Amino acid sequence: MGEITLNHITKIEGHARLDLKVEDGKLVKCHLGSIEGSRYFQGLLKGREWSDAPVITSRICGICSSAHGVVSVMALENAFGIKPSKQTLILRELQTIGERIRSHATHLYFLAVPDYLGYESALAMAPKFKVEVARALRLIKLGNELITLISGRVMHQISTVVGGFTHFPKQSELDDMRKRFEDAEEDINETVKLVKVNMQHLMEMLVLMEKYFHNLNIKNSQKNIMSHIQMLIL
Amino acid sequence: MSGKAKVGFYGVTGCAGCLLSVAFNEDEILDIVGAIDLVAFPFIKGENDNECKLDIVFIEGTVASKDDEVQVKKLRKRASIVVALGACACVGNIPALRNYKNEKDVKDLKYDKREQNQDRDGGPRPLHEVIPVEFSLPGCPPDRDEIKTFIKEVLLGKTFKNYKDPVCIECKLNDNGCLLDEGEVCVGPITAGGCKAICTTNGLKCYGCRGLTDDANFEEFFALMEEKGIDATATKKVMETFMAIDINEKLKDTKWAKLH
Repeated sequence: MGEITLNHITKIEGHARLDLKVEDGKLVKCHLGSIEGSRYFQGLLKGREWSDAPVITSRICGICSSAHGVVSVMALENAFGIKPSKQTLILRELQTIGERIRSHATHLYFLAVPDYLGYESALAMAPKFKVEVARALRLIKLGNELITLISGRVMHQISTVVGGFTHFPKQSELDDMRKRFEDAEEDINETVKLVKVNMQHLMEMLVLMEKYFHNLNIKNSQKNIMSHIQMLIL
Repeated sequence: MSGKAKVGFYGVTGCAGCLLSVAFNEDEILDIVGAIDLVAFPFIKGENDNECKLDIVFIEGTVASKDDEVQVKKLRKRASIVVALGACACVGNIPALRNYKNEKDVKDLKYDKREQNQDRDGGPRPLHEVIPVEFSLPGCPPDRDEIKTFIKEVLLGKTFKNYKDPVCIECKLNDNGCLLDEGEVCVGPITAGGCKAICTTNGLKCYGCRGLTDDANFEEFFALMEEKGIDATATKKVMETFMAIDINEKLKDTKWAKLH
């Protein structure tokens, strides 16, 4: 019989803990719990001006603030019966794509890859994996600059409002951004390669993990892990 | 400080945006990390020394849960310099609105609470109300350049000074028209700048995320808004968005105290 307790899981956004309990070689308890302090956002929105809602909801999360901000704008437009213009929809899409690039690059290089390469952090990887860490920072910056170009700031959007935008990028700024993305193709391809190479390690680990999970009597674990990895690669 | 300063970055109840604002100095983060002894940054580090003495600790978030209070008090004991990082830690930010809400309105949602995230007694409060704080880096999010300037200055032994002029100064320097003239409840005139007036320059009114100026003139501000046809309740609501605690403290003996 054994118990594993992680009071504060590192390299995640927010606060979470993990409790595992094994009895007679079987996992009898696996509890992943959020220990985030409550902020009660829904309640705080009551009685506010509608235009304050996206400003407030974007503060739910700094990593994905565009998602929270844009969806709040969309919900209000739905309520008002407003159909935003094609240009507005494209700009919003660009903003959220920028956020995904930034977020995936951060997650992959700063939160996930160090574990697979045996480092405690991307910062600790930096001396030996200079190229990779520099690439990570370039991709994060690229995503951040796209978000900033459209919404005014790297997080907690400013210009994205109900009905459209309060500020627009100049044509020349969009042209420059397109060029930056074309130039980033190699960084993106190298990132995919990095994940694929580490897949090899993952595959070997999986064989071991299959036995481990089999012993622990968790059904479908391997299938779940595989689909998770496939999602990562896609 | 002899040798490199031992520095920790921690977060209590918040959105991680302030910690990201440190990490998102993409061109300088490796130099920053190189200039200090980064002993703890659980958001991006797997190995963290959560016991050692710290020269500087940066804390993000509002002190909202019982565990938050335990964490920040422990950090205070460990650190020579405590820095409140961002609007939650400096002024309470949006979570602090709960202090002025009807309990039932806010808590009608059921949360699966564990021992670690029980709400603390006394409501969500900014850091300085729970522990003494040496420096504040305000803003939601805090300005990335200001974070760099602060780290540089504190490592060099200089005294960092907060920007205290109202947002209007930087707003005018950016050649913006005045949003007050457009009938917006823009809190810029009573809000401390240093943000480069980033919101108003991008067309959004100032909601006051960097806290009050030292000489905020409420009388004039309410009068100005009334002139524009905006009633005092609506004005106060915008003022409260990020700095509800300070606003209610300053207005407590005035005719605007009971407006909600």
